[in-house]
Amino acid sequence: MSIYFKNMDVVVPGDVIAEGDFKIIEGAFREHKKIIASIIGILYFKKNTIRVVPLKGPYMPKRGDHVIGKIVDCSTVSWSVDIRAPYLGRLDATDYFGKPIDPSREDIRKTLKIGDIIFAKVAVVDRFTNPQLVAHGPALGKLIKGKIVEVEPLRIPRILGKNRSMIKMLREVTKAEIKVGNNGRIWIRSPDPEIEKLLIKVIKKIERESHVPGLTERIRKTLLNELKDRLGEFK
Amino acid sequence: MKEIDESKLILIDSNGIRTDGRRWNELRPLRIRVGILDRAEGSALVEMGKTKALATVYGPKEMFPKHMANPDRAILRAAYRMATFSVEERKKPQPSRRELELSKVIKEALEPAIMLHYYPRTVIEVYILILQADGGTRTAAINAASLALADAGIPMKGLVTAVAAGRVGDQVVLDLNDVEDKYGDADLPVAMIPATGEITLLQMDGTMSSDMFERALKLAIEGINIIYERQRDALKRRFLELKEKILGGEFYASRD
Amino acid sequence: MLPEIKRSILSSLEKSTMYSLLKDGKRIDGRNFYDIRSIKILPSIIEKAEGSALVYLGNTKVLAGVKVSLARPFEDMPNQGLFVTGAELTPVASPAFELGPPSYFSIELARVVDRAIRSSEMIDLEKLVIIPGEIVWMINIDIYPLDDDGNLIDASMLAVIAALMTTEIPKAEITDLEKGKVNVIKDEKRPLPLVDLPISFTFAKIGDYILLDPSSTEENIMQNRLTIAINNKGEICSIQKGEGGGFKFNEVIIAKNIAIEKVNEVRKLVVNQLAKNPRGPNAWEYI
Repeated sequence: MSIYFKNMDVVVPGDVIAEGDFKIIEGAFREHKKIIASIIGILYFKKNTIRVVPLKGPYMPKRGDHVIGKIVDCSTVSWSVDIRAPYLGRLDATDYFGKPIDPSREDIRKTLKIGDIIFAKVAVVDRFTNPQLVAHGPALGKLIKGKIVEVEPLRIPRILGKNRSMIKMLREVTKAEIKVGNNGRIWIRSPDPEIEKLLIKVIKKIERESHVPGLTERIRKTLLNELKDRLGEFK
Repeated sequence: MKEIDESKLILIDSNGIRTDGRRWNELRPLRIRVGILDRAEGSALVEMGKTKALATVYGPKEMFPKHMANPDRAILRAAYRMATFSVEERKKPQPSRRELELSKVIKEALEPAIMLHYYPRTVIEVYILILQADGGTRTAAINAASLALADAGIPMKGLVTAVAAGRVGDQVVLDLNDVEDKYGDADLPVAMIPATGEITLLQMDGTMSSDMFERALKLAIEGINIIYERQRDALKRRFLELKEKILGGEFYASRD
Repeated sequence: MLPEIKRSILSSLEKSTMYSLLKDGKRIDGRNFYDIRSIKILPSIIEKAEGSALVYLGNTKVLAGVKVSLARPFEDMPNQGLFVTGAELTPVASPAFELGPPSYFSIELARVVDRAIRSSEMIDLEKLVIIPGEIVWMINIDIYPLDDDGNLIDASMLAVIAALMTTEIPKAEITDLEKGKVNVIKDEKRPLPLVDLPISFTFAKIGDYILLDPSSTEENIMQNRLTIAINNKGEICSIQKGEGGGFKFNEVIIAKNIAIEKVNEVRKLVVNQLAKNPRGPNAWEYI
């Protein structure tokens, strides 16, 4: 077993990462004994596993993902939803209302129009049909007002933070509503447009910032500082 | 407008120097830029000497019309076009038979490298625009296209790298320029996935002896290995910056 | 509906954000209504073309190239050279463009640019005559958008005038006047004779607001657009209204006044950038 790169090196498709009995988690393939990278990404070794975490690429929906989608088409019983993936999501009326509906009596277009934004969960993903979404249930459904920030889907874990610490802090300090989609869309809403603006700035900052120990704390300080003059009650 | 008297044309002089100052086994100056456009998901500009190829990639995205989709894998579409001002005499904007043939062989040169089965029922589109043509446009196009695919984050078995070898008199030469392409005795463009050793494009016009063909193919592969290193460097340069931006202790831990 | 068009639908949230900003006199990218995005020009970057320029208008990038060749003049204009403008909208610039026969928009784009050059008499066509009625220079201008982030018309206009400003035509020696034969000396060149520099200004109408230099997001929801080109004398030399909606009289007047107010500033910028920006094949380093 030999390894030709260091942990956290950038590899590109075709790079021979290692030779031997490694377990590939993602971003690589085996050609005889060789383990070869299939994507541009950062290389991670852990025990005898190899993983190349992509730096850029299409969002592929996974079962259980939360997504922020945009209604782009509508039939009598379902909507097509752009979820920034290679496939449009499909949302059946039943999975929005939580009960069967009669298309001859109800016009679902009145509920969700083209261009509307929803917060949904990916329910079914397979190779043969488009991902099936569900948008009824706690916290799911149509998003009214507020703003959407788009970031690289691969950077969503940074926005959430360890054990969702970053996102908890953002909510706590700004009192804004925030929903995070695994597809790289983040929705924010606050009665104060200045807070919305500030949050967009901060989210872009988190996306951009390099690895700094205690990013959450640093962002908290920035936020409090910016908010100091605006709202007296924050300390 | 430009006429060359073939009988007076010397492609390699008595010191073994070619029209642009190179020796038989030297590549033209190579310049590679990745990710230069905003709208496309992946893009790259490759310059081999005066030849400039720009490639952009879109997708994977839903196939339209739907009945053309493949239920098991993504479909690759590739188009090669030359700008009207890329050549000495203005080219008509309508695609020529040559451009259509090259679109096909370029697509087939890239296809074996892409893990199309990851994205059933979708299409991946590659568009190549030759901004300036000075010989070797199809090889520059393939070099640019495979970088644009990697830039778009599309999984591949490896980059595809291409260069032509050829024959001038009794001499094999590497990376033919326009004059050598037009007035030399044979042109042998080769594309390959260096990571797996597969040759994915192979064409020839002119004539070569069996022995010379073998030498020319070997020379092309040597050239490919040099270009491949440069492609990897250019890609890494672009993404090292990105790595700095997103790398953090939490990143790996919180992905599951 | 093509998937591309579906994806470009603006969400209800984006729309309402955009309108509430417009109410406060601001645009989604922070500009004021009549601000033009930053302009960058890289001249003479295609060696095989007699003239060329790559122009950035914000994130929009357009490459224009000029080819010069010998041609026969039109029967009714024996004392004038020829020029033709074309535009190729390839998917390189945007997934919304398709391969295949030229789209209506690509033809409109080329013709709007062509008209501004023709009406302003930018090129001194009489100086392109070699043998009157027999041989003249023909100037082929081709526009290739490379990255579409809105307002391809103004970006193309800038790329074309910059490309023409870099264009050089070879010397043509008459070898046989009777038979109309000429000898072209490629190494002796002179600049293309230019007498004007028309600049175009494209406005988008969104709701009741008029915005200069729309981005692609703004073009997504604009009802219509208006392009006005201004020549050196400050005269209007070309107008094109596009898309389905309509303009009111006073909206047209506002657009016209803004164009006239801005033209000198933009023209000066073009001239300055052509004088000092990196040029030649190495300018590709600066893209």
